[in-house]
Amino acid sequence: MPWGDLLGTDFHAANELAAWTGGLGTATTTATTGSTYYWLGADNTATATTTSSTTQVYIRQMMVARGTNTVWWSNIDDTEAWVDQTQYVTLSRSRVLASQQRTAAEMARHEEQRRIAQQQYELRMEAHHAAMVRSKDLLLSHLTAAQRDTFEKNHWFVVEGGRSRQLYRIRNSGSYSANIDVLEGLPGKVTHRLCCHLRDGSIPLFDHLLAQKVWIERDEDQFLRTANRHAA
Amino acid sequence: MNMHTTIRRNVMEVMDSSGHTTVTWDPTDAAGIADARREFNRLTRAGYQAFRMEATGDNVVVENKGERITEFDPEAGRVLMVPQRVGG
Repeated sequence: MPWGDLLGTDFHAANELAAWTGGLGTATTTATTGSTYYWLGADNTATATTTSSTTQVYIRQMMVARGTNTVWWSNIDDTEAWVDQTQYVTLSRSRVLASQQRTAAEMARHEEQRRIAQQQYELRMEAHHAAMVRSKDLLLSHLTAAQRDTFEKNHWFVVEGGRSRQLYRIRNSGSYSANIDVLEGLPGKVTHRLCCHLRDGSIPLFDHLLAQKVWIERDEDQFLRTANRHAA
Repeated sequence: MNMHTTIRRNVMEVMDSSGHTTVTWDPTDAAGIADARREFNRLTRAGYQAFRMEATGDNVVVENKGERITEFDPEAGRVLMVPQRVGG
């Protein structure tokens, strides 16, 4: 892991450690010669007096368990870990800048993806609308004048079974599910409903209604064998 | 002298996700008939049902006339191709 990626983690870890130790970032520590001190979360206000010749900041990825006095350290390559304070601050700023640039790039990419998705959605909706218009035109061209009239006014039309002369009412209820009423007598009590439609659900609704009409008028027995009955 | 020739166009309407597509042919043109027959056979192999619709001269369908067909009829003025059905 590049040590720059650890900076954010170390700042967080330093805060945790500061809370745990009662404020490491502002504490004064008397060093003992020969000992090594790890200084976490260094920033511009940090100062250090050491007995050694070099002030160093040791960067490690650290986890602090809340509620206990246990700290776990993860090992990283020491050649990357040892930096002086100036490098630490510089690289920290680089990290922030890189993060901001990456965020801007990500936002631009996200916006582009959103724009493409919106464009594709609009194209799909346009194609869907055109398909609905075409399928409705086809249906209307196959209806009699009386069927067209009731369909435009009431969103249904009545067809007569090709074999039985049974009357069926095909409704446009916004769906092709159980939209066929089996009628009895006049003006037409609904005895039960039938559900039979095109297998391909991507075909627009009005094609389903036309298919139902054609099946009832010209292939009634097979249609009734396929259709499921539903209570009225 | 102006000569006007009216070409009769028979039509096959195929239900699909675009609303429908049409295949037309001139019943006096062998090549056009062959193309339409090929498409008819392809669709019926795919499970489509074909219905010959009896239509008047201006292609207005006459209710309850017409029938289901399983062979391509080049003389059929209007054929409706309906995909497979399912009970719901």
